[in-house]
Parts: sequence; C-alpha cells; structure tokens
Amino acid sequence: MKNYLGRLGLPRKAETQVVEAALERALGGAHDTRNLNDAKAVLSDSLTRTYYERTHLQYDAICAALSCLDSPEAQNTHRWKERLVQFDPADNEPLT
Amino acid sequence: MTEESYLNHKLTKTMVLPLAAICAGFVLTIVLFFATTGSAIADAYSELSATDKAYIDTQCLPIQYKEGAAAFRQCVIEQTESLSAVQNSAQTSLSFDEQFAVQQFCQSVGNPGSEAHENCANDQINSLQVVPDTDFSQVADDEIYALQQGCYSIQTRAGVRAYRECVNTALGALAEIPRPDLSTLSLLDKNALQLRCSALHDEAASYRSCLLEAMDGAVAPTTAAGSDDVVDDTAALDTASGATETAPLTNAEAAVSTSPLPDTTATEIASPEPVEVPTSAVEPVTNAAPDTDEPTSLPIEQPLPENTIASSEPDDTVIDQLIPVADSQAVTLESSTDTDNVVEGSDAGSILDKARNAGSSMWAQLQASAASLSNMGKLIMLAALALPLCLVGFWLLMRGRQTETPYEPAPYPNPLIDRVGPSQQRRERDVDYDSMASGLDTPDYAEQVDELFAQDNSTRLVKPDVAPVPTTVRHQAVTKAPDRGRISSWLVEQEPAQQLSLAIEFMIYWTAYADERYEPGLRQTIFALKDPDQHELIKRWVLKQDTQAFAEITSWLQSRTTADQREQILNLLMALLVNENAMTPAQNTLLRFLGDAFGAGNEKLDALYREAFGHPMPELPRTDKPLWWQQQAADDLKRWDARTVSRQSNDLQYRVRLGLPLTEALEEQQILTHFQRAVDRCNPQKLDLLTHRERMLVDRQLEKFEQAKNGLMEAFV
Repeated sequence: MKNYLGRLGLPRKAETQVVEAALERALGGAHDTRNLNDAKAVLSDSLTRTYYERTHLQYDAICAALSCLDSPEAQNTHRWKERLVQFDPADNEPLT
Repeated sequence: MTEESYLNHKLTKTMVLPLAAICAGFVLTIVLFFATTGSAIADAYSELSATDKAYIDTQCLPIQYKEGAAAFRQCVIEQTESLSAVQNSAQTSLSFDEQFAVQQFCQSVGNPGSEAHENCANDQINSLQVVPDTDFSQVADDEIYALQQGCYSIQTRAGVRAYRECVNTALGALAEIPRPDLSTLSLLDKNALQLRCSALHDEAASYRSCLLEAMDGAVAPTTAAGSDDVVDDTAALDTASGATETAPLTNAEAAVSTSPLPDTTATEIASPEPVEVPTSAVEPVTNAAPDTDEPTSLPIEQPLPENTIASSEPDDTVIDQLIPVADSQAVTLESSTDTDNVVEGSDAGSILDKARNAGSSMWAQLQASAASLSNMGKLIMLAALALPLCLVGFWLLMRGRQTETPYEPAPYPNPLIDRVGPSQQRRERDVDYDSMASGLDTPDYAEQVDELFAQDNSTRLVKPDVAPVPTTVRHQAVTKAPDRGRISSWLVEQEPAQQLSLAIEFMIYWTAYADERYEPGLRQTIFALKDPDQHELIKRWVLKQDTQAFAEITSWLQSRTTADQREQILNLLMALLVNENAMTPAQNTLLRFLGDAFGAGNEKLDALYREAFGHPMPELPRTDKPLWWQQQAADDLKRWDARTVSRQSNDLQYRVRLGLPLTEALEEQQILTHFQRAVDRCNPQKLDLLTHRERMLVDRQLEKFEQAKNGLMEAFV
C-alpha cells in the first residue's frame, strides 16, 4: 500500500484542491512519474479516493498495532511490516 | 346539612378512608405476592451471573434455533432452576471471585446441575481446606483490584485453590512493601497516579511499588485497613477546598502534571472533563470497621445512610465505638436519646440490647427480603407501603381541616400533576445492544441520532469544576470515564464481566465506522456529550479514528482471550458487518490484519470466510493501484456503500443483505441458498465462547436476514 498523501506531505483528510495542487507541483519536477500518475488516478476520483482513504485509515491503525504481531501466538502471513513501510514517518520519502 | 347527612359525612371521613387504606394495602400486598411468585423464574434468571446467563444461552439458543420459542423458554427455565439449585450449595460460602473460579474450572466437565459438575464443584471447595482464607483487611480497594487482576488468568483456568494461593502469595508480596502515603495528594492527583500505576503494572506488589516510588517513599502511618483511604479522601477534600495549597510537590504530582496529553479534538480541549476516578478507589471498604472518629471523611461516593449522619455527633461517637459493628446499623436507627440510655444503667442496657438485637435481626431480614425482590417487585412493595400511609395522611389532613370547616369541601390542588408532567416527557436513555444493532447493519441513522438526542442535555452539559463540587457531580466523575487517554486504562476500570464485551464492541464499531456507517451528525453529537456512557465513550474513541485505541484493544483481545474466542470474534465481525459479495477494502484489510494478530493466519481466515460466504475471500485490496480498481465489478462498488444502500428500495436492500444479484430475476432456490449461508453465519454455536451481548446482536442480525428472505420470497407466493 502506497502512502501517497503522506509522501505528498498531506494529511489523510486533505482537501481535494490541496491534493491536486500538490500533485501538480510534484509532477512538475519529477523524472519518474509512474507513482505520481497512479496517485493522481486514485486521488482525483471521488469514489476511489474515498475507499483509498478508508483503507489508509486501516493501515494507520495497523501501523499503530504492529507490535501485536510480536506476540508468539500471532502470525504475519501478509508481511505487514513491509506493507507499512510508507506509513512509518521515519521512512516517508517524498513522492517524486 | 341535616344531622343524618352530617353523620354520614363524618362516618365517611372517619371510617371509610382508613378502611380504604387498609384494603388498598391488603390488595397491593396480594398483588405483590403474585407478581413476585409469577416472576420467580425471571427473577432467578436475572439474578444469575453473566457467566451463568452466557452458559444458559449457549445451551438454549441452539434449541431456539432448531425447535422454536417454546422449547427455548422451557430450556431456560430448566437451566435456571438447575443453576439456582447449584448456587444454593456450598459454593455460596465462597467469595464471589472464588465462586467464579469454581464456575470457570468446572464448566468444562459438565452442565451445571449435573453430577459431574457438582462433584467438580465439591472437589474444588474441598481443595480449599489446605489453603488459608484470604485476608484483605490490610489492603486498600485499589490494591485488591490489582491483586485480582494479577490472578485473573489463574482464576479463569486453574481452579479456585490455585486462585486463592495466587491471591495469598500476592498478598504476602504486598505485605513486604510499605503502604505509600497518598494523603498529600489531591483526590484528582491521587486517582490519576493510581490509574497510571494500574495501567503500567499488573501485579499488586509492583503497583504498590509504583505508588511508593511516585511518593518518594513516603509511607503511610500504620492504621486499620481502609482508614488510609479515609485519610486520603479527607486530604483530597481539603486540597479541593484550598486547604493544602502549600503542600510540597511530590514526584507523583510532577508525574501527573507532566504526563503527555493524549490527542484530543478542539471540542474536547474547549471542554475538558474531570480526570477519571477509579471505582475501586472509592468503593466502601467492607472488611474494615467504620472510622467513627472521622465520620465525615468517608469516601464521597459511599452511600451515607441518614442514620449514620445522625450518629456522627461527637457525643455519640464514643458510644458508637463501644457497640459491635454488627449492631451499629440497628443502633443508629434509634434516636440519640435512646443511645444515651445505653450507658445509664445495666438493666436498661440489657433491655435495650435485646431490643436492638431484635431490631437488628428484623432490619437484616427486611434488607434480605428487599434484596431478593426484582426492581419491579421493589417498586410494587414501595407502592404498597406508601399508599396506605398516603391515604392515612390524607385522611388526617381532611380531619384537621374538618375541625376548622366541617361542612365545606376544601379545594385540594394536586401538586403531583405538576410534578409528574415534566418527568413523563423525559425519555429514558438506553444504549443497549438493540440500538447498537440497529445502527450497524440497517443504517437507520435517524434512529441512531434520535437515541442520542433523547438525552436531557441540560443536565449533561455540566461544566467540570476543579473547586469543591457537589457529591452528585463527583459521583459522575467516578462512574464515567474520561473520553481521552488510553482506552486500555479505561477498560480495566470497567466491571470485569463487561470488559470482553466492551472490547468487542469497540471492534464492531471500528469495523462499521471504517466504512462510515453512521450519520454525519452523529460525530458532532457524540463529542458534544458531557456525560457519555460506556457505549458513547467507545463510539467517541472510534469516531476520533484513534489508531492507538485500536492498537490497545487489539492487544487486549490478543492477551485476554483464547485462540478459540479470537476466532469467534472474527466470525462475529463477519456475521454482523460483512454482507455476502460486499466485503469492502477496509473490512478486508482489517480482517486480514486481525486474522494474523489473533493467530489465525491467512489460511484459517480464508477457511472461516469460505465457510461463511461459500467462496474464497478476496485478495488483500490495493486501493492505491488504478489497475486494481479496474478489476472491481461495478455491482460490488454499489454494495460497499451502506449509506447509499440504505436509501434504496426494500427489494434492493434485501438483495444486498443476502448477497444476491442486484438486477436479474431471482430464483427461489437461489434466495434460500444465500439465506441459509447467512443463517449459518449467525449460528450461536459459532459464538458460544463470547458473551450474551454478542449472541443477542447476532440474533438481531438473523432477524434482518429473515426479513430480507421473506421480502424476496413474496414474489413466489
């Protein structure tokens, strides 16, 4: 799961116009625009943005609960740590 | 008026009204008798513990499912009777916690009431002969709570002997640590410190060490148990009134004042609520004699009977101390003049002692009788007692007025009409499983908001006050947890029997609200509440999208439930919140994480899902990928939005509820197949390790599936 909003330096509930402006700015100076194009496709459509945001919330929650996977009884069949790498503030590189 | 009519009038005044009073009392007593007898089974059921009720549900819900309501009722009656019989056995000599340990241990060997279960219970009780009784007399209530928490896992798994040994061992460890002196702290600071230590330490000894460390090792003077609480609360009161403003700042105060504020919304910052006061810290100490030297320093929330207040006069205090505790209740019922007579002469004293004993015995019997009645029974009994008194009073009033104006019927305004009027307009608040269920699957948002607006907000918008506040306001602060801070700390302060249900409730709301299954206005309403109950607090945490709260609840469930229970929680979430062919990306992500955190893993979760819905669980969604979106069917997207679905025709709602195609013509068998899968998801046997509340929620869900099936089948009738 890619944390588009975090990498644009925006909160999960950022206004559509703010997101669009940030995307335009990022697209202007990017060499590899694949991620940015994906981000634009998902975040520009209200339906996909809605469900992206809701999934984003669950990833934020899972990030907070990640230590639960350290329990001996827990499993990690979805390699959550790797999926959450972009939700870790320390690892949040700009989206370019 | 003629002489005859005057006599008739007088006869009416003097005879009829007292007779009416006596008759009314007699009739009401008979009604009371039949009401209490008729509801004996219901009373017996209501008096059972949550564990016993859960057990009865486990036994009887499958019968209801297969054989109908009559068989279910018969099953409940039989199980209640057998459980009541068991409860009348030697178990009653144990403490509540030890009875719970016996029940937990023996529930696996047979049904309560069966020979195997009874033998197990007897063995358990006999095993206690070699273990000394637990003595809590030197331990404060908050420490008792810590002791019980520390031994909880043993209590639920290892039997009563192991539990008592665990408690005794913990008591021994506790005795080696001096009791901290919290008297320099204000009530709020003391409770904040206790909360903090309670959240950090599971063991009583480490809990006390935490308190001691925070107090810089200040040790309380050696006093009878519970008296330190009294002193502490007195100090707290003094502090509240500004008497101890010059008290030195201890580590504890510094710790409390510098502890980081949790994330709060602007609304909450603008309207801070009082710090949570743990219930255990203010419950009356039952093992200790009351401190008659400082009668006014009893914990604020301890119910103070009027007679106790009356006996707090300094002159009576010495006398009260001479009277055994068991008799004090009866003594305090008497007037101070009678009490003075106790010390005047031995003969008079012995007569008074006898009278006191008789009175004490009668009072105890009356209390026992009252305690055995249901709420309705108590209401009827109060009415039966009050009505004759009211009528006699009315008659005396009439008589008095008759002396003044014997022939003129005086106009008597009825003040009750004015008083009853407003209260009739007030609606009761009841955030129970019914309203919760109605807000989950069928998003009847108007009803959900209605339920919240039904409160009397004028009483709930009480501005919290740091200065001395009335007892009632303090009581609210005790019983209502704050909406901020760690949910795990709040959860452990709730009744142990409710904790699992509340943790599951959080998960239910988290899953439901993840897809914004709530009316937008609900958020504002919930955050405006000044006196939220448990359910509203949980909603608040969820609506705040408090991911830390989610993490804490996940961790709590992970550590406090068995693998089978966690599997059943996954089943519950699927039964309540996931419709066939309509699993949203948020639900999918969440369930897959919980599956891992709960130890089920991908394979087991897929098996549970396949069993529930008849097809494999969709892959982990990638809502960040445009390609993934292209692969989603347009029909599925329509099903995801519960709020939009709730505004469609009944036919469409029913189709979504059962996971049927949205547009094409349906076949009878198709509907029945989908319905059967929904029924199987709601099978109570899949939830038999959870609480009564979850099973009732699923019952409600089953009704909704039935409604959908019946609605769709009408086309074939």
